[in-house]
Amino acid sequence: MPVQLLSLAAFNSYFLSPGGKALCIPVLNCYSCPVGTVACPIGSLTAFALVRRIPFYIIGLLGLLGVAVGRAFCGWACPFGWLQDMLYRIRTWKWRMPKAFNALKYALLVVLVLALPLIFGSAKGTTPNARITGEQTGALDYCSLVCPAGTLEGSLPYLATDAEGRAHASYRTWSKIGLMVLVLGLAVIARRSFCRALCPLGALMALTSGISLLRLRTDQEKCTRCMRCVKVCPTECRHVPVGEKRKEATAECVLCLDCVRNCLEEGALSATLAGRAVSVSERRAEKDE
Amino acid sequence: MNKKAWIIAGALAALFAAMLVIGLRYGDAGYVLKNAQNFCFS
Repeated sequence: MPVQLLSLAAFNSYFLSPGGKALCIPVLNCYSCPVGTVACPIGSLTAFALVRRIPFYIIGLLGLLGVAVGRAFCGWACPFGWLQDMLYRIRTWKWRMPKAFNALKYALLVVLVLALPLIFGSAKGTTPNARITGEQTGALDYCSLVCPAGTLEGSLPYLATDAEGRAHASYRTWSKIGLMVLVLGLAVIARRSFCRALCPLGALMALTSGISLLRLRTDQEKCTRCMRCVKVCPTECRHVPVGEKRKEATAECVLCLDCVRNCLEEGALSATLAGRAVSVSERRAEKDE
Repeated sequence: MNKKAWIIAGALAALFAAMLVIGLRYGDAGYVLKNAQNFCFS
């Protein structure tokens, strides 16, 4: 939580780093927002696809970060992830989202971030205001049609402060806002639902999950198979390795390490970076939790 | 991590590093910055 709050402040402090928008960091944080510090990789990928340019820089940077720490940015630094974590704390009926929904984000990545911008190349004008509200551009991409982070941090402040923008808002703007409300509502009942089912950045970073240097490691001799780690997993991706089946988690793992923190057996579960333990479970009585 | 995992991670890291260098050389970072500033209405 403190790390998430720090990252929330860091990625929304443009006045501290006016040149930071050249840097793509894998967190979903709309750079249309005046205070956004860094460039959103999804917005940047779309921009490259629109002009049919190969995004070497973005793929290289995200790939390197992915190889180093996998989806840890999703678990520790993404402001939208933090917002979902907060919303899920609201006490209400909770829903266990079926795993089949996880595939949706890959479709969104391929269709709305890559295919449609490529096909409809030179979207008719990408003026700032038009792009933010999705008005009069003809643009059919993730930023213009779907992104709830963009709606929350870009569109809503813009509409709140610009009367002309409000006057020109069409069904597209309102549908984006409606979708954002839906996504935030879903986050109240299903933990990290957006990350798991809809986030194209999560889909992109999930591709590096299996090869990252930061990974979970279960000591099968110490593990008591209490399944506590499975129960606390926010993305419901945790597997307890048994025998030859050594898979620790699916690609949905955001390496939040809730499983390590909640493990009751000393040394049974750890997170390792390039083979070195960076976080190890400690022995605790269950009543401490 | 076993040897195979190290080799795969190393090879991919080298590939991504090469892509990053190519991208920087061709001004991708500048394009990202320009694009971000265009989107930003501040």
